[in-house]
Amino acid sequence: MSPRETNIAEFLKPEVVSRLANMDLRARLIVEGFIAGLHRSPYHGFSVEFAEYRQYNAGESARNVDWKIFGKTDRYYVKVFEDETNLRATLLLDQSASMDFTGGAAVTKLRYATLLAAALGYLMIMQRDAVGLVVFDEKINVLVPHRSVRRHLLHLLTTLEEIAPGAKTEIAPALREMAERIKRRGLVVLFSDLHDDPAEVIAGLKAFRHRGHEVVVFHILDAKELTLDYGGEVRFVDKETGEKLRTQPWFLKKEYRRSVREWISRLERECKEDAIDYNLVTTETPFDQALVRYLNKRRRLR
Amino acid sequence: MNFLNPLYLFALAAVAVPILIHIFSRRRVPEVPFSTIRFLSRSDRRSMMRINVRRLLLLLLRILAVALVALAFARPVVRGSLAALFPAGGSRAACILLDRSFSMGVEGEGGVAFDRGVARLAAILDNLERGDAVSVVLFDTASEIVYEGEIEKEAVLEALRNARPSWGGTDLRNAAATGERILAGSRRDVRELYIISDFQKTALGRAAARSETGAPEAPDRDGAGIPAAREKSRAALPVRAFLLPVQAKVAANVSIESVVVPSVALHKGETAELGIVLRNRSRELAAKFPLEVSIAGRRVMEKEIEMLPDNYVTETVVFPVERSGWIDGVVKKRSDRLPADDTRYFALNVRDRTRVLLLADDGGFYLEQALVPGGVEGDIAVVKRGWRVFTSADLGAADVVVLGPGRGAAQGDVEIIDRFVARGGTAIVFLVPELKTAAERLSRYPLGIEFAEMPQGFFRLAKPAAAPGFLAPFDERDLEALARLRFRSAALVRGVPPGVAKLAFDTRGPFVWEERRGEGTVVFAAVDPRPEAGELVLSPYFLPLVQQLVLATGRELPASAGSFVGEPIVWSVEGDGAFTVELPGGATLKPAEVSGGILVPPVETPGIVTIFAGAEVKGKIAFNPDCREESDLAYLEPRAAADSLGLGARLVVEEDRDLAPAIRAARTGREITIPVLLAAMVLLALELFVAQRERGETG
Repeated sequence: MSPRETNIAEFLKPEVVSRLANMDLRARLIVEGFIAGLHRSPYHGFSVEFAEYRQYNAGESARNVDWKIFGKTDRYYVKVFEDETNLRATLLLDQSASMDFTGGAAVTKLRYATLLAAALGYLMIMQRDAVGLVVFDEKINVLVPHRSVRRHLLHLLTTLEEIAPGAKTEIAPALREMAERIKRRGLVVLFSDLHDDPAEVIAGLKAFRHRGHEVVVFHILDAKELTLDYGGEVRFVDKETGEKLRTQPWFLKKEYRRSVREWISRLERECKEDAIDYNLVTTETPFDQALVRYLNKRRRLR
Repeated sequence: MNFLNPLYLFALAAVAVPILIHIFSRRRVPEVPFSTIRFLSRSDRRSMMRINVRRLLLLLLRILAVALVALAFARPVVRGSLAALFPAGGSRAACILLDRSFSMGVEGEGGVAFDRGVARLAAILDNLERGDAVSVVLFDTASEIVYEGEIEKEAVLEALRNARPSWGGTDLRNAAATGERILAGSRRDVRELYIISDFQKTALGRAAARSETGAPEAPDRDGAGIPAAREKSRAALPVRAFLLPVQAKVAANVSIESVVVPSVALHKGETAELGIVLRNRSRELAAKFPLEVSIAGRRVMEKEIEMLPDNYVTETVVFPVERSGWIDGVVKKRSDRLPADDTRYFALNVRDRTRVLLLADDGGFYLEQALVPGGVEGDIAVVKRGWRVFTSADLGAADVVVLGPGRGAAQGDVEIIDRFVARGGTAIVFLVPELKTAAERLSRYPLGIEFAEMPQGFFRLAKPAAAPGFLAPFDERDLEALARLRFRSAALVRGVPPGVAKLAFDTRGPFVWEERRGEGTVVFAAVDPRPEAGELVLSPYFLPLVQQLVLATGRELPASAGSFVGEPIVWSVEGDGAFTVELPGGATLKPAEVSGGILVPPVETPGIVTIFAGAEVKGKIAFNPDCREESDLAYLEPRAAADSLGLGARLVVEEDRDLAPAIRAARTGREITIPVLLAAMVLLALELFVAQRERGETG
């Protein structure tokens, strides 16, 4: 790995990105950094409508060189195509109180979700996809309608910037409501910790599938939520209900991990049954991994 | 279970430490916000119970470990079958303390207490094994080691063959300290202390009472430093103590407490009065017995006495004193259970004449006439010498020196008189101007003497409320007549503290007062013994006043002499040193001379000690047991005595109990400090293991 690549990988780590001041900058950093690391540019090859010519730069792929022009002018020109907006993506962001949790990682789940949503939004706009944003806890709090223009990106990022932790989650009703409201078929990307009754959650997701949406779920958890790595005796305070529980976590760890594993595998299994793309990410997962998963999905959608 | 260092049981309070830590750590639980406790609450109730059980287990382990360490400090000893589980000790050292105080002479159902004590001692010897070291100590107020060495029963009993109860009291503390010192010096692993005693109620009190009054400790007959042993920490000695009481079941005893002899000098021809104090010590039983008094071998009284329970009776005996010199006597009652206090001796000194040296010149006529009226000697034999011509030999032959008028005393004369007084003589000073310096020299007070004459008025004496001691024969009318006498001139004396004067002028100036000086006495009379000084000299009161000054002041003692058996006494006597002392049994010895007289060594048996200078009897001393404490047959609970003596591991074996099984049972006790410590270590290791596991799981 070259020093430059190391540097880029560095920029895809949540703890690094979260330190940057501006959401736009952060989203760009993630995406550009991510793209720079890819061997093929995701921006091209999708579109069909010619947009313009531009001068070939050294090191660029020779695939898009217009050889006819070369024959006439003896210069290398590259054909640039206008991307066709054929995708409506809706970013669903869970801002419930449980999302405002970090067990020691640099960012909370909500922050991670925001950054990931911003990066995806940026990437989508760059690809000329129409992007909408829904922020919810037990009800829909923010709704940004779908647009594909560059200007929309700023609006999107500003909205994301301003998200604060909300109240208790009941995902299922919110999902059903959103399924009602998003009429046109498209891509639905959900960022949530899914802390609700799994059956209800699945039912909510299925509602989207019913209406023909493609669904990608980013199940965001903190590493501590998976492992329950706490020492000594502690008193847990439930973020959402405020309920308290005194215990020695080491003693519960085994049982807890088993419960969580069951829960996750159930979600995974049921999502698979309904062709829902389920992605478990922790707040320590570098953003590129999440982006790769999205792009894979996107590719399949073509 | 017993403890050799029971004081350390206080360390058990340390179990509070783990408990406090437990409570404290429960309080300090940090709050941790968590996204959801959905997955926790399901398994929580069950697991929390397990956690609590484990925590309680840890707490229990810690408490047990701490408690066991504390117990180990207290050095636990187990008995019975449990003891067989622990290894036994090696060879044994036994110290047997046998009480021989005079209360051990009490006769009970099974014989004399002391003999029963010896029998119990023999039983102890039977329970010792070949090779064991044994020490036998007889004790009363002092301790005497009579046997020391490897056990040999015959030799031990031989050493005790002539042992009898003594006449002394009991000092259990001293005895126990001796025993502990002996055992502390032993290198044997097992140390046993046996105390055979009647555990008199006063047995523990003597030492305390002595140290309070500052009286010297009774000398140790074995001559060893017992106080040093007493200072030694008792806790350091793992001594197993056996207490073997030998007590009288019916504790009834009547004792002759004391014989009260006259406190003033007796003279031939007078009648003397003896007071005999009897005491019935029993709380329940009345007593009836004959009492007999003999003086100089002749019976003077025989009487049947009846006494109520717990009661005192004082019998008075009046008898004529027919001859002078030392006479002795004995009071006897019929023997009861404790015969030691049923006989009491006394000695009296009857004076023939009081030898007076009168120092006076011309003005001494009336004084001489008052001492020997008409030249006929009565109780007083007078030798008259002029001032500055008398010698110290004149003084040596006198009991009393009277300083009268004349040329007065030279400096050297006063020194000689002062030495005479310091050795026990009496000086009577008549305050005339020429004796002013001598009076100031012989008084302990800073005297201011002024000789005043009253040409117009007169001095008079103040009438005392009651006749002072030396004017005992004077009645109320005599005193009134005395107070009417007129003095033309008198010595006005300042500097004598109020209350010292036996007679005083109506000006409150002292007329007659008495001062102790060395062993002797100086009597001052603020009067000039010449007719020109006033009416006194020619009055009928001058003669009795002067005679009483000579006879009734000063050398009042020794009219009698007495001491307790076992206590030495210094006898004040003058002479050339050829003294012999005859002891009660008839044996004689040469006494040691000490300053102020001769030292009569402690006498072992009651009776009369006679002091001879050649063939002349110089004194008699009656020696009696000190029955103030021992006659009272009230006993201590042996356990209470052991507690007071600080004997930790002790066993009381009553007289009706078989000694062998009791001793065997006590001996099978084993100290289990090491096993207890090991158990504590195991518990600590277990605690560490459990705690480490918990930490491993949390980490």
